[in-house]
Amino acid sequence: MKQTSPPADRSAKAAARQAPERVSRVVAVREWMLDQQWPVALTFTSVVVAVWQLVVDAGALPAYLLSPWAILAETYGMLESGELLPLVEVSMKREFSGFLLGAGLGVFAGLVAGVARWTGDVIDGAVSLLYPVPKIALLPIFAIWLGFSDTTRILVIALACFFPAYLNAQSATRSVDPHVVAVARNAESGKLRTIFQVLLPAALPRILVGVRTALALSFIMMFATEVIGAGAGAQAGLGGRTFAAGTNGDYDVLWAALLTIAVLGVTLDTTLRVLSARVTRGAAKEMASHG
Amino acid sequence: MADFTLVRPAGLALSTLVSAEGMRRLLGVTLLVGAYELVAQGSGNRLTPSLSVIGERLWFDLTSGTLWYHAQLTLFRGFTGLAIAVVAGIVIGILMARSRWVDAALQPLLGATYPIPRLALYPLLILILGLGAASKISLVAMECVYPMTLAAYAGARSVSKDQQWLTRNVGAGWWRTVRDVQIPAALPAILTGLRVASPIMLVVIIVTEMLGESRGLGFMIQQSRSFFEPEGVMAVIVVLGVLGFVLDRMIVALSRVLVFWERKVKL
Repeated sequence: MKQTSPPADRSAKAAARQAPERVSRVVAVREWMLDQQWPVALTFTSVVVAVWQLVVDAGALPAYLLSPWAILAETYGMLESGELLPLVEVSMKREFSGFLLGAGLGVFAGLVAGVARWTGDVIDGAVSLLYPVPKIALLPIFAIWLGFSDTTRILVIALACFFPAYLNAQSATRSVDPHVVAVARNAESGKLRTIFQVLLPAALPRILVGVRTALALSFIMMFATEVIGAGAGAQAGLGGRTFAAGTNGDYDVLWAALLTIAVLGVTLDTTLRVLSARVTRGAAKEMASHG
Repeated sequence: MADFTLVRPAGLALSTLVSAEGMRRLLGVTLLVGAYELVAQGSGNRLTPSLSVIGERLWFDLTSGTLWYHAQLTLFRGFTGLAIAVVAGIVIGILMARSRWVDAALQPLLGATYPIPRLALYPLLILILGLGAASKISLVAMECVYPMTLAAYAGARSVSKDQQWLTRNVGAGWWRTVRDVQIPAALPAILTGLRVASPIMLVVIIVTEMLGESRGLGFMIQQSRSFFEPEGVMAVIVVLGVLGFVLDRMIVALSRVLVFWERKVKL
């Protein structure tokens, strides 16, 4: 074969031919990353964690700032030694009892207030009186009445969870399209049936928003009620243990408890979100078909 | 991502008070207060002080200057933290709305860390910044920056494509777009965010003052509890309730002035 051009020239041409393709591939990857968002977030987080690890390894930080690797190791160690799970159990029991009690009552009261105008206005008045008070301020008065017991903690957590659950359920029920209810009534559906088969499903997405807020609040309140007037041993719970570790200088325990709280918070929130998505599948489809 | 709707009770506005609905609300308030007063009168012990006893204590705290001394500190720290959160939230929120890279890096992170109580970081903040005002202010800022960022982001994103093109066509640069288009567009949402953040500020600052502090309203509650004075605790609870209410009304009044073009929207 006869060579028509010097090799150097040919490779330059080849590069020129390939360049737009390579550039478009880079653009495609970038667009995908920006579209999906998580690859960017993951890279960003990894870089931050890596820098953190490196800075700690270099010994540039005070002793109370542990490296990510050391935190993982300590958490695993506390799991192995059986120190962590009893703390989690105690804290979760308080949190769940308070959350279920508060959010449950809140949704129920919200539905009642949304369906029955007269009663609803009366409940709303009482709620608006208590609403602006930071609920944690009620912990000391409950503590005077019942001591720093689990009952006190659960009641305060429940009280905090009640408000977002109630407010969302109430406004969700009141804002259900009245035509939908009228259609149900015209189809001779009874009162109870209308409530359970029409009103409740229509209000559910908004109700669940309130429940999710309540869940996040229950975590904050669990921590706060355990830190103020902490118990001893496993009764301290995750909050009490974290705070005591900070004061006593057990920095590894402090970080391990922090990580545990973070993991629990994210896990429960994700579980609730997945469950909500399943329960409100119908509503989501409805929205999609209208939009 | 946490969604952004503000739900709160309708309250006891004077305008609705004369209506039948307002009367029923008032009945609810009366029933609640009345039930408490009945229990207080019936029990006859110090655990549940009656309204008049709480009132007397409140008057005493007010006139002796104790309340003002503590409240002033609580409010100073709370508002400093809130101010930091507002500025940081607006900056981060608008950067997220402007840059897809910042958006992609931060939005999943904000969503993932939202259910983690920032309060759990308080022991760590004490180690880094000490027990003084700095750790309390930082914690308030960290907790309040979430609603503020989400609000600023949602608000800045509400600028329509047409508005964006128009802005670019008249030759507005990066900064002018932010100042003259995005911040005004985000303002209503930012004020809603402020209404979400201000009660959070109050909760966080009270919790931090209940822990190893010798001043502030949170300390006042704890002190009354350890002296076994339920009426003292109740008096501060009443003050906090009033404070929360007034704070919210103040933000509403502020939004009437700042976002005068959104008068029709009922707050």
